[in-house]
Amino acid sequence: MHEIVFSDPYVKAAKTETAGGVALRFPLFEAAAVPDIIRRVRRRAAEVFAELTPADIQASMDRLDAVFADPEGGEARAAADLIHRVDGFSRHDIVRYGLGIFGPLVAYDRGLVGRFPAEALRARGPVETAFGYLRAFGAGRFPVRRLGRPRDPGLVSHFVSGNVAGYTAILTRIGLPLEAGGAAQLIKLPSTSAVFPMIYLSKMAALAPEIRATMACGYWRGGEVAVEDVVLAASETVNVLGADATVRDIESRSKRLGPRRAVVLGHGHKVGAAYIARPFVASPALSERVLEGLVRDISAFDGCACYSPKNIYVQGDHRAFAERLAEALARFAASVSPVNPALERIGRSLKRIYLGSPDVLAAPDGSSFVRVGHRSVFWFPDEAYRYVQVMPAEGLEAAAATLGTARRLLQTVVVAVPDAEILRALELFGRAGAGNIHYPGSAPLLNVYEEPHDGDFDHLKIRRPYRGRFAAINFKRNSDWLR
Amino acid sequence: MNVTLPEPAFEDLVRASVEHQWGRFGYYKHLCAARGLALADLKAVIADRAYHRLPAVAAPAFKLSKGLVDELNDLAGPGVFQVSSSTSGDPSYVYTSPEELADVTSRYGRAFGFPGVSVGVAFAPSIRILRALSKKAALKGRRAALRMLLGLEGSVARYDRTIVTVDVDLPRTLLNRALGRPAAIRKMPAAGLASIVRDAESRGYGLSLGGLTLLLRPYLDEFREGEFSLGDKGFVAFSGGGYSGAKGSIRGERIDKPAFVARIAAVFGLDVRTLSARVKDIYSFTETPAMIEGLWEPGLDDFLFRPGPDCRVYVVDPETEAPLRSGRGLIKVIAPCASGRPAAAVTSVLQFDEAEIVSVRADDGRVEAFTRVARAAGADAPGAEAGCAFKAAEIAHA
Repeated sequence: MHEIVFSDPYVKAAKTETAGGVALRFPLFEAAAVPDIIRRVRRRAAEVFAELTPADIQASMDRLDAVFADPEGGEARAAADLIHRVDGFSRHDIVRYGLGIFGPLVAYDRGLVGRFPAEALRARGPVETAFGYLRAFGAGRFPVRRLGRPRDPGLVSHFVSGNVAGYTAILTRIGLPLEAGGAAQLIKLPSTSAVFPMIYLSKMAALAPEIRATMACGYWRGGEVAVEDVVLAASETVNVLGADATVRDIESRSKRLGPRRAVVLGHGHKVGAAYIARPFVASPALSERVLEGLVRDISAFDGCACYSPKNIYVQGDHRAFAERLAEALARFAASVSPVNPALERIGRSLKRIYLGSPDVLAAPDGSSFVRVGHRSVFWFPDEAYRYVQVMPAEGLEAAAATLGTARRLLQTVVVAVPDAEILRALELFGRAGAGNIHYPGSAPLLNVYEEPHDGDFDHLKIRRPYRGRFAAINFKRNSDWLR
Repeated sequence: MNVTLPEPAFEDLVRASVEHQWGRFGYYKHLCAARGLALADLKAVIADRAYHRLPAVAAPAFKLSKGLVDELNDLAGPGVFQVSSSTSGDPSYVYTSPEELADVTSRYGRAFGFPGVSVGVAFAPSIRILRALSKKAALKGRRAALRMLLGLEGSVARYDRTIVTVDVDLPRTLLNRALGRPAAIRKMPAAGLASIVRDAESRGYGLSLGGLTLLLRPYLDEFREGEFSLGDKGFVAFSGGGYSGAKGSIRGERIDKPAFVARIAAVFGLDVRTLSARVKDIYSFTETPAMIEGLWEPGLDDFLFRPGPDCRVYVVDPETEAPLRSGRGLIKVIAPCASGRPAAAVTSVLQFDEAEIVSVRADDGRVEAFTRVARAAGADAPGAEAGCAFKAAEIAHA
């Protein structure tokens, strides 16, 4: 059997597991070794960040991201093949929506990096960004430390969840220096089948070995107290992504064990939404484009991601829209992006359950499900799958009010609204609690340079803490995506 | 189960129940249509007594999160919702008429009973706790009853005296309420249980120990082997599973059945030669009125379940739902309600539990005996992160 060895400069123990017919050898954190790993990565990170300027680091990261930004490039293709084989997600989703986040980052004007969040904090309304607009909400939102030296983020530990390629690795940017103040980072792999972070770090070791030396990455079983308590006790900053219970648990343990004033960035469970205004439902041409985009947003990584739209509010004939959406989802799964085989049992189970319900439109092969709601509510899906609920919407205000009842769960809202309502959508959905407002077909494509993650710019918040939160919209006019 | 139901009477009840379901539930009609079956086809299937061909409603369809409460329950008549213990944090709601409710309760009474035994210890929350939790579970303006409550009420009606092991600590609860805190729960101390068992020993009456495995399990650690000697006067009847270590909001260690039964026999001094007559489990679930008794079978190191005449059980292929003749598969139960007019579409149900066939009838493929029941792989999705709907501590707010 073919064996792939992923290594780490600090984590010497290893664990081998087989997935997709490949033996994967991963670095494994062992409790006894953790204190020494932390000491060494801290020391090396301090040396590296004393030598390299933020501009040097940005240039290195651009070179690294460029490797994955070209979907036809040999290394990106090899990475996509391996992820597909191990994780089972469709190659289409991995390339377009996983590695797809790197293209806009590589092409981004470096002079703009970091500029918009600072501007938005000062402005009273939305500020125009490279791709859309950014708005800061909340009284007293100016940085607590506006002047002087930023807070030293110390050791940044990442408790990563999920296997969404791209996102699982890009979190490492949080610890890289902004104006100054790079941090040693420790990354917990979400599972031994989450290969992308190790692929990314392997390439970083080749292209930017000094930056790679500021991070230690490996696996330990989630909740393994002997490892986690030592990590939490040493971490001035903790970035945790996962179920709400996990976030709460890490927060309380960090508070109990960690340094005084440790910062925990908690990213809990999220449920995406979409709002489709009447002109985009009534016009055959426009609704076709909206459906084309929504189908991709819903299907990406089989609806398991934080950004996956689940609640779809439609102005106009929502039942007819739901029927067209159901047909389009089924076609897309059959011809472009099949369901991950590991998740097919969910489809079989849902099909059995909903076979008798005329209000649940199932794809014949169980690859997707569209529920038709008769009134506008916030629906909490009982399964992570290509599974959504379409409901009638009165208008932007009413949809935003409905979403506002679940603000803790909001992150991404896909919108199709007339040009005149784009800024209004940012204002209303942003106030409701959403952080990322995207055009149809772009829900997964987060641009970390000008969009928050769950309402925050984490790399900024851990250095110059601010009150309030952000929301961004990723287009300025409909012609940006209706090309 | 000591109920006799001749084959023609069972057939009539199934026909009446299916016709009623067809008339009342658009969901069932739609389900049958998806399988290409009209009412006449269903009647033909019943006349052939080929009950396995009746389309089954998947039991998880009754879970609250699926949003099908109105489609699967007929709320037009009087009744209450039976509610599951919600181990997954997502309870099932099954509307039930008063006569069906009485029937389910009396079935529990029969299933928990042992001939000549008049005193029972129920390792379960008290009726007052279960009623308070039931009150909280009301839905759509209809009252609710936890299925566990029906089990306990059935047992209480069956025995002259039933002692429960978990109840409300009234003085502390009153104090807590004054401070706006949840109710306080009191668990019977081991000495209390010992006193009951010793009384049965000394007076020579039969004693049934029953209820939830997870509530009995901790007592076994409190006593040494040979602590008691009930001999042929001791009986055990479990219900509700919990062997995985979870039941409702109760959590414990996973239970190894052979070791568990052996420990019970050793602690309570049960006659080990006749364990297969005195230790039983009741397989049932909220989405069916059927109650299937299983006696401990030492040769299998598990319970051997034998469906009674009031239901038909098939073990079916997980993909095709075709009945199997051997091996493991999903459990499909055909159980008409006693009235023939079900208030929910429960006559034919596919449960996402797996069982191993021990014997099937050659003529119609119905299972005569099955064993090794377990949740089907992937049956319990994480679901909504609402947490368990029924936590005993919440009854202060009932």
